[in-house]
Amino acid sequence: MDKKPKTYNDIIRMKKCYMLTKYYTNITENMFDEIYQFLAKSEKSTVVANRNMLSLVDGRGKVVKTYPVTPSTTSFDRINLDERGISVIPHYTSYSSSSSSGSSSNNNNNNNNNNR
Amino acid sequence: MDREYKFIHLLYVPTMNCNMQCKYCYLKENTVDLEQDEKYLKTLEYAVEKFKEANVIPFNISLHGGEVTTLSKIDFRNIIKYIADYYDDNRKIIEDNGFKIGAPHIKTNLFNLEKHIDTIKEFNVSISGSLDLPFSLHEEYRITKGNQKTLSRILNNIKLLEGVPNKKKVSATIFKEHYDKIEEIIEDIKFLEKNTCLDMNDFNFMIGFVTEDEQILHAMTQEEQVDFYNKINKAFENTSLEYGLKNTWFAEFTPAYCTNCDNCGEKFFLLERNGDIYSCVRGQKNEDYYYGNIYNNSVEEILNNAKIKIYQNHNKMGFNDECNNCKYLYMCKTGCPYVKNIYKINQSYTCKLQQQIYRDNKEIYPTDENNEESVYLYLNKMHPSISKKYYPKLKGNIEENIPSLAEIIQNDNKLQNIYSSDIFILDIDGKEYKLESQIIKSERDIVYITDDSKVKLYIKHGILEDCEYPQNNSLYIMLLSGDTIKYGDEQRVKQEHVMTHQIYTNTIKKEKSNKEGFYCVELTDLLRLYYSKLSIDNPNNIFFTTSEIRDYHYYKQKNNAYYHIQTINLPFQNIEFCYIDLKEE
Repeated sequence: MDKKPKTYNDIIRMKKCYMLTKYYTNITENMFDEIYQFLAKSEKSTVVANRNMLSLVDGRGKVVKTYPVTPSTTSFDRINLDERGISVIPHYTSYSSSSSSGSSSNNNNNNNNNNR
Repeated sequence: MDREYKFIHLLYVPTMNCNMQCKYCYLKENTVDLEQDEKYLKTLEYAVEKFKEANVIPFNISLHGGEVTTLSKIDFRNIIKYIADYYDDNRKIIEDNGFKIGAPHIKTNLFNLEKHIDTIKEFNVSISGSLDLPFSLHEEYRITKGNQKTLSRILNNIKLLEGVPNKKKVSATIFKEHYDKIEEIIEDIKFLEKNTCLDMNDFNFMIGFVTEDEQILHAMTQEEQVDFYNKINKAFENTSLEYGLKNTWFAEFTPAYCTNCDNCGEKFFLLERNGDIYSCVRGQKNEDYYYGNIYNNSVEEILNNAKIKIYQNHNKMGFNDECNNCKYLYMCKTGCPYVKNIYKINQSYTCKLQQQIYRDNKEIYPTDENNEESVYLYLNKMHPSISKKYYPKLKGNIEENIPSLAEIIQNDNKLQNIYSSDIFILDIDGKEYKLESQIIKSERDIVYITDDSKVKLYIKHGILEDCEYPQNNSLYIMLLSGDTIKYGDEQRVKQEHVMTHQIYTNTIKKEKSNKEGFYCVELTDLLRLYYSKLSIDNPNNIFFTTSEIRDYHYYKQKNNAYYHIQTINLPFQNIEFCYIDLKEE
């Protein structure tokens, strides 16, 4: 990235952008920079990405720019990234099919008494 | 290894020339070619080869205008032969992938047809002609550049197709002016059926729309569209044309057409002879629907531009919440983005007509039994910024005769606190996060915490007191690392437990709270003790509950196997967080 983060908020913003790169294989350095700069513009800026496209959305909900993206895993359907943090929406599987639905509980937490 | 192909529908415009000057033509002054050269064929050959090299296969190549019949006889034959040969050469790959191959197909105004009748017969060219109905308006609007009428010559040209075993059909676009003469339209359809070789069971109505600068024609209102449809129905039900009425006349709104795509930019392309690629005839010459130039852009760029532009065009006007409750969204997909943006609306401009057609033909167009799911999947793809709101409530991963977790919770008051989303609020550096059960919520929330972060928890009054002996009850905090280890008899890989902490009710009550109706617990110092034990690479996890609620959860698990199998993971309210060590940074 061209610019070094200077503030706490810059560092957090950069970490969020790095998190995106874990979910998509084709986030280029230029894209990374643009996303980072876009989020810095306003607290209301949002990045919304599904399995095909990543959009920069301004505070009025307008799609400002869109990039094609390639997901690196089948585990999720959508990612939202904003000032508050990141939301990852697990892959939703049809309830008309037999496989499991996508809840957020996929990270292997346990409730066994051996870990009480 | 089998190659993965992408199949596209390609409209090709070999010439922008037109021999007519219809008064309402959407191409306006663009119906001339400044240069006459070999590009009419070279561009198509070049594009098809370039697409194929990128594993993109046109399963259909149709010729559109301008007016394709203005090509010279030899040029017309050359391009038709090229398409016929293309279908022969690629028949296997196209048909093996589920697409039908027809004869070369042209869209034409039928005015110059006689010039190419030999080629049409030789290659059995499929013809889709345009007429205005009623004929009286055809004579008024569809005129030559020399202001001559065209109907008589067109009807004579149709006669030339008698005995040719090709597919031949006509279509008519209906505006308010046409609708006002519906009785004439009905008579003219009957005339065409009786007196020409056209099979009027294979006929299309198209519903006209107007742009702001349109002076000649006016669009029908949605009510007029429905009235038009009803009157046409009344006139042709129980006649020899009933099949067409039910199946083809209004086929524009069926799954076979472009408007049934989530994103038509993934499948439909219009190529001009200069190499420019647009979405379709509606988007032709419009920058918002321009995908690139086959000579100057890579196929990857063109395909990406296509899906991005259509996605953006759909998003300009947003999603209409009414479509959420319409059980035909799976067919309609909110309509054509081009028209939505012209009309500044966020649903199909033929919405009421489509609903009427679907309702009248339940066997062909049934309502969507899984509408909630279809809406969510559509929005997730085309309007992801709002799809969260439409996440399906009914989630079934269990057999039908087993009660769902939602039902079990609904029937047990005590369980409801375990899954309530308004009893814990976490405040991180002044931002509040309402905590939800990780089993119930549809998304993982990941926040960022640094060693300098101020963290506090608000607990709704009444939660700690919801038991026989509140002084024995406690806030129960579980901190898990984002790193995993293998646990216990199950040998299951899980997030590693870092810390469990309890704070008793009376201790919590002594703390001051700045939020009415909630107790407040400062967590900053407690969490600092463990930051060094957390994962740096993966999101960590923190859960909150009360000891009373937690005990009830395990009690319920012991007594109810249906509950147990649906709560394998911790059900308590949580949030995931990435820890950032600022000193390291």
